[in-house]
Amino acid sequence: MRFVREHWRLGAVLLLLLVLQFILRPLLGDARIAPDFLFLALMVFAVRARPGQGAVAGFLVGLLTDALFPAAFGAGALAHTAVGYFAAWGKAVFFADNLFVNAAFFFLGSWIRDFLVLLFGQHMSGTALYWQLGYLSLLKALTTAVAGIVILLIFRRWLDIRIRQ
Amino acid sequence: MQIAPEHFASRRDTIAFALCILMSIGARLAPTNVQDKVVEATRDTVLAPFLAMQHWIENERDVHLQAVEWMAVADSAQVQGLEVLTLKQENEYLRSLLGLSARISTAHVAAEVLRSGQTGEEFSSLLLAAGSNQGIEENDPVVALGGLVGHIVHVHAATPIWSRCRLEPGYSRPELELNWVVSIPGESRLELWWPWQIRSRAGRATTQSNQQFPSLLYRT
Repeated sequence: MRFVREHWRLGAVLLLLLVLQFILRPLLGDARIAPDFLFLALMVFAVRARPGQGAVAGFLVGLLTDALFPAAFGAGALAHTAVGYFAAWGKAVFFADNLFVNAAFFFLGSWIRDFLVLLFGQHMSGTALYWQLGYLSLLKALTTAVAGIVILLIFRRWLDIRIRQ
Repeated sequence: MQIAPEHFASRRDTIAFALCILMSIGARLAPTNVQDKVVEATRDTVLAPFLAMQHWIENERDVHLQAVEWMAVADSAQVQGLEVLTLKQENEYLRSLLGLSARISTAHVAAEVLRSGQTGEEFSSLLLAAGSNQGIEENDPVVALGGLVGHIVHVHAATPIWSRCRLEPGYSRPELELNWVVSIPGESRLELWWPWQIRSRAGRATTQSNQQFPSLLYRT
């Protein structure tokens, strides 16, 4: 019974993040640095799932982002698959129920995802690539991490997040 | 929420990961038309409600921004209206200093120009739908936006709402389109303000009152 309830709660948070991606994100200004709620949903799910599940979830989220921005179709799926898999794998090493570990996951995951998309997409080069990775992706990772902290704080009971060690 | 058991990936996880990576590479290397079909299908099915939601939100935001803009314009117009009031008061004060009477616009009555009925007469005179009932008297000047255009030559006694205006030579010509004004000197003044056209076709003149606006008769 408790298991089912927890899954419903996780599902509700993921659905909320999905809705926020399309309702709140367009209102948050520059889309290049606005928090990526879809990616947050993937990370929240991945650190609570097995690596295989994280990979499949990453693949699906990547397909959705590729459908939204088809500049380099497939690159998003590949990058999200890798990030989803390793985020799920990483929970064996880190404390995935710690707020700041989650925030670091969000930050690093977002930046690595962007790096992989650019690497496999090959649709950006030169100064634009450095500008994207060194500035815009970092800002986006930061805003995503902040948004992630807020979400985790709001739903800390549902997601079993520890504020202190 | 219970965190999944902490262990490294099993063989099943590795296979799932490898399959997803292979499918991603396949998607990346697929022909553009195949990619487009997948994109289109995803947008039309899974993403459709979310994209509709996003579209609605952005529309609402635009409407809100537009409303704010219109509000700013309305506020500006209101401020300008206040300035007009100040200018009007200043103008009245200056006029009083110079000993000028009030502007004609403060003492006039608008009236309609009626069809003449006689071909050729419109080149020299016009029938006005304003007469003794409105205080019109003979020799009252008839003015338009451009200035004096004629004077009242006859005020109908039987039909006190009519009078006849004789045009000044400068205005007695075809292809004339004016907003006429009849003014009456003294305390009571009459202004006639009506679109009027005189057209000439194949050497024969026709008159036409372009009645786009209702007859506007008023006194101050």
